[in-house]
Amino acid sequence: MRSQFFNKKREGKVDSSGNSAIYKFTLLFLGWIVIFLILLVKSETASSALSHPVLLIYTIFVTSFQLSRVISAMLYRAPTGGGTCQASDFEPTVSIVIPCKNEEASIEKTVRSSFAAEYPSEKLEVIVINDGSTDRTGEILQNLKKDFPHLVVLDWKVNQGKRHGMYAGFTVATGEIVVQLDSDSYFEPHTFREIIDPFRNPRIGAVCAHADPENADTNMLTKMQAAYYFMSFRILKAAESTFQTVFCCSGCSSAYRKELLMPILKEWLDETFMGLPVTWGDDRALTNWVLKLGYDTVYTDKAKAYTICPDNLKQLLTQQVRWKKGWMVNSFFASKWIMKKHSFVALTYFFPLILVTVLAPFMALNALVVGPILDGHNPVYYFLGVILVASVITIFYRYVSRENKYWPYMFLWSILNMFILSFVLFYAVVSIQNRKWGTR
Amino acid sequence: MTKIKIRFYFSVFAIVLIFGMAYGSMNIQKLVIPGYQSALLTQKEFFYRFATSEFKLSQIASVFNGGWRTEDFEYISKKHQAHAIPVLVYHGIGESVDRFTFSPEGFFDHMNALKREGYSTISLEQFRDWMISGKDVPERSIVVTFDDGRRDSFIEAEPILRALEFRATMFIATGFSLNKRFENSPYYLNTREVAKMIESGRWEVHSHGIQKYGGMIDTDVGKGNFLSSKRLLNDFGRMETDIEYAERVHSELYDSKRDIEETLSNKVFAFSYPFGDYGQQTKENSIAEPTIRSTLIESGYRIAFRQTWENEAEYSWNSRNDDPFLLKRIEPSPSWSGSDLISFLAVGETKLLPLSDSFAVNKGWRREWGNMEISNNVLRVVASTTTTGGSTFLDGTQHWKNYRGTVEVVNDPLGSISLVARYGDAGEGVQCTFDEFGVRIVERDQDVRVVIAEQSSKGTYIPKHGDMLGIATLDDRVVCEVNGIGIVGTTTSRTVAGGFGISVWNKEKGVATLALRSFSAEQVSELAIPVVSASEAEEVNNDRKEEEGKEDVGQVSSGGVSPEVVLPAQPDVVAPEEVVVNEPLPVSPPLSLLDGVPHVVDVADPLPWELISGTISATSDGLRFQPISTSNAMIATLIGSQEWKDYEIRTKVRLENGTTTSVVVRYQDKNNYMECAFSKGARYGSATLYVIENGTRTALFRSPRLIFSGETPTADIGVRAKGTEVSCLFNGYPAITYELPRVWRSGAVGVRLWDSLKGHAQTDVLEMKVTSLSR
Repeated sequence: MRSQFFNKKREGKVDSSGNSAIYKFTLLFLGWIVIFLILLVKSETASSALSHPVLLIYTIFVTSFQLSRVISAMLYRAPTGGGTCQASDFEPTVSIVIPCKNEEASIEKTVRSSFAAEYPSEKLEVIVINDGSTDRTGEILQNLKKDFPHLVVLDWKVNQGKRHGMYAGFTVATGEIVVQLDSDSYFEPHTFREIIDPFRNPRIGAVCAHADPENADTNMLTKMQAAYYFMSFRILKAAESTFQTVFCCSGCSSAYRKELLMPILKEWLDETFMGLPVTWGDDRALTNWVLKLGYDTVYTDKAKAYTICPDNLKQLLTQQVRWKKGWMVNSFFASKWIMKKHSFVALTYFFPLILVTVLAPFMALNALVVGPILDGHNPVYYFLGVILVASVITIFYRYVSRENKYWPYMFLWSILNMFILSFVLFYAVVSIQNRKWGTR
Repeated sequence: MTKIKIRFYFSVFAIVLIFGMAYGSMNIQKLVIPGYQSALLTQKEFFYRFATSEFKLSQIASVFNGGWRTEDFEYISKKHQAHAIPVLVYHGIGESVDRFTFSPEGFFDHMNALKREGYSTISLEQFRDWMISGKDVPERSIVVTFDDGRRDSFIEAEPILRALEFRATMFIATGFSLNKRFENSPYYLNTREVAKMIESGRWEVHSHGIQKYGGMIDTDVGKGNFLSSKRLLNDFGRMETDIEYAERVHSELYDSKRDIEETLSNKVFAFSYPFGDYGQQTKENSIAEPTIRSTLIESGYRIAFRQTWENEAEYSWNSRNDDPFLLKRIEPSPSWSGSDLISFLAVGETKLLPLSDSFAVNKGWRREWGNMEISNNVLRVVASTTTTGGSTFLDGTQHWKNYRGTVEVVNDPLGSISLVARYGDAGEGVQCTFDEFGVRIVERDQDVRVVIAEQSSKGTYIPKHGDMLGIATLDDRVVCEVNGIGIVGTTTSRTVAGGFGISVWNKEKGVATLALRSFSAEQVSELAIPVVSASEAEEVNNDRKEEEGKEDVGQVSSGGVSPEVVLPAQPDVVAPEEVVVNEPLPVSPPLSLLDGVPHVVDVADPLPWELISGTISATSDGLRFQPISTSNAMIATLIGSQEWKDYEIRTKVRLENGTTTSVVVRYQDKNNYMECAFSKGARYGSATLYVIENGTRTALFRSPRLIFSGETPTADIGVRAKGTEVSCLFNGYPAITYELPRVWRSGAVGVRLWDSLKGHAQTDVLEMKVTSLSR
């Protein structure tokens, strides 16, 4: 069932444009009902919060912020670079850079699918950095070289870290566009052109592809992450892309204009935070550099990639801690210049997001633990509020992709997020000086 | 879309979103009240039902584990009909608790406690029918009311009432709740909500006035309660006239009733006095109380509610004897827990006969005056340092009628002991008084004590340790008992039901003390009035009492008795009279009293006086009246005045402290006459109207304090006698006016003196003038 479904999807036969009017109308109707219910829940907070005006302002602010993301996402249009999408007149040289370490299980598939990309092979180069692997990765790469003469392998005996790997890859790359691909990720070959096409627009410095977990059906946790990935790419990154400011072109599948990066690459490599080198959030840091240089970054839902997501809670938490740390450090850096370069986005999204992310765990703590114990408040309204906002997102989710079957897990994810993941921030703050990579 | 366009759309959406969110969350409750509120209500009701389920489970469990105790369910079975019904009044229920605002949890605690104790709420209509039409309701019925029409109390009480299957009455101020201007007030209910309340069938809505000018209005002495104060008309710079006031009261009472009835098609028959003020609180406006009452009746109200407070000596539950326009409501404090409310209600709980009380716990004895305590199985009634006595009554006994109440005395009491039967809210009743002067039956009506029968023992009997004292009543008969033997009995006009009280009194402040070990009460179905021995027959003529006891005692009208003057029975003024009997009286020639020509008595000449006892001598400025040295009293009448009918006597006398000086009228013989007795202390004095019939002296009425002017001991006293109406005059004005239809229409005028020391009484009459009142 699953592989059939995926095959279908990869063939691009199911498209959101095929949704019937009744389906859209039903979702729209549901959306209004949910908005109405949100107002009811908020009014309950309002009636009891008249003595707590700060709480009321917070709850209105957060809900508005979350819904404003949906609005931004609704305004999103896939970047076309100004030309017609299928035209082949825009074919710059492309280098795919794949840093890897101990990836014997997946590296072959990654390399093979890279070469399978629907792109003129003479304009495509694949660079794999074997960053001190201790397993059979090196051997597999040597074998692959026989099949693909255009494969460049940088074989490092000593591990230097992903950022160094990327740096080396970018340096040796000859293409105008550098596609950065994680060692466990791969593109859908026929959508590869979509990630290159936006570069027609000279203002665009980086493009982020859409990524879904390949191991989505492994267990409940991966299903929840499948929903989360879809939401964070197709809704949150799309919302950022509406304003041409995607803050994180995901490490698993993004493309950069090489000429932009070369002057700052060394600086990016040597970034430190509180005296120590930054080992995580390299993708986010690179994207921020593009933004800092004054170029646009966009997300395209037409280029599709697959990656592997953690299948147990411990790995998920480690990954979340790493991402939160990356977000914190890069938000800290970006906050210095974001007003100058992208003031509208800074005011409507960047700073509010920081506020929400910082306050959310405290408010959750207050609504779920402190309030019920000290004041006897009923936490059910907070809970309902979270679920209803998740419902709005889910309705939009269904609207943009009727075929993605993981949408029910959106609710589970928001519960997980409310009870566990939002508190990861605390741990991330405390352990900010731990620069270890952590997973995998 | 261009960048600018996108930013523009996004900004518009975001602004709409934020303001929509803020406005919506503040107002959506109002926009969609029906569905939303009922959903919330259902949810709250669910929680409350859940909170009560523990008790229900324990009830069910007790059946299975053998823990069924009949007494737990005695009241739930509701064997009896209610003799009295408590009414509760609440104001608001909200998050911030104050004197008038309960927390929802606190209110739930109260209602849940009522439910657990087997109380069930009845509608106000049922209450009215019980009160007025005599329909029965089961015992442990209770009425829950809310004043002021506050929105929060409806919103928070509704799910609680639903969950407990209780009901309530809301008294609304129509000037707010039925007024479009206050439609969006967060404080007051609006028309739509009131209509919903009525529709629910759980709520009744009645009037709390219009409150057109608010609860408090301007008066010439500051702020006043709107219903009972005359309003200061600022535009005219004057106060309302009586008529304007009455019109305003009419509008407040009638229009509010009409508006509720017309707007909501809901029959209004009950009123709740705002601030609990039915006119009694507002001293400046003497017409308030009668105006409000008569307007209530005219407007078609059948019942009206006030509040009672813990320190007031009233039965805490309402009985059918009570005034339907002064119904009592208990106002629970937000600081009371549910069990506090239950114990407060238990005080007023209906007590059934027979009853025996060994004072292990307080079964409902309440202090009326002085001090009272129950400890170590003894009920102690004592005077406080500032009172001459103390009294207590048993709450919940107001429906008792024919019963015998017996107490066991465990000290040698310091003072007169009185047992009160047929005790009513205003302190009225019939009492047996036991002291060294004997045993007396006294009818009491607020501040007036009238001796209706006595058995004088002159020191032979003094209540002492171990005595069983009792009072028994059967219909119009009253008997006082000592150790189970009837001592004195008579018939009384106080035949309505009433409870039991005890008091003790002594001349000295802070002395009176009474300790009781037990109290028992039983139903009485036979009661004989004890036969008095021959030697005492002269003083107490039972046959006469049998004949005349049922007659109307008469109407009391006084110039306003101030409540601080508490006048318990005072034995000293009812001292037996020692009379020196002369030879048979010669019939004197009648003296004519002409209209318009005052008869001026010559105060230099003792000859026009007929001495019944004592002496009269002329002094430099008047006539000196004195008893003989072995007697406490003297009496003399004006010769020839025995045919006089309607007249006014005024006399200027020099009073001695301690001497009671009486102006005698309607004198027939030494055993039949009336008198106004004036006695004077250091600064104050009083006048008492007595009738002496067949030798029995009865105090009809006592005046409030009279102020005798400082140094000069002279006083202007007198009597006006016209038909059956007799007034005691002080400085020419009536201090007491009393109508006693059964006494004589004519009789001689005279002077009588009395002093507690023999041969000590002395009064000088300086002027005396009699004016005819017949026309």
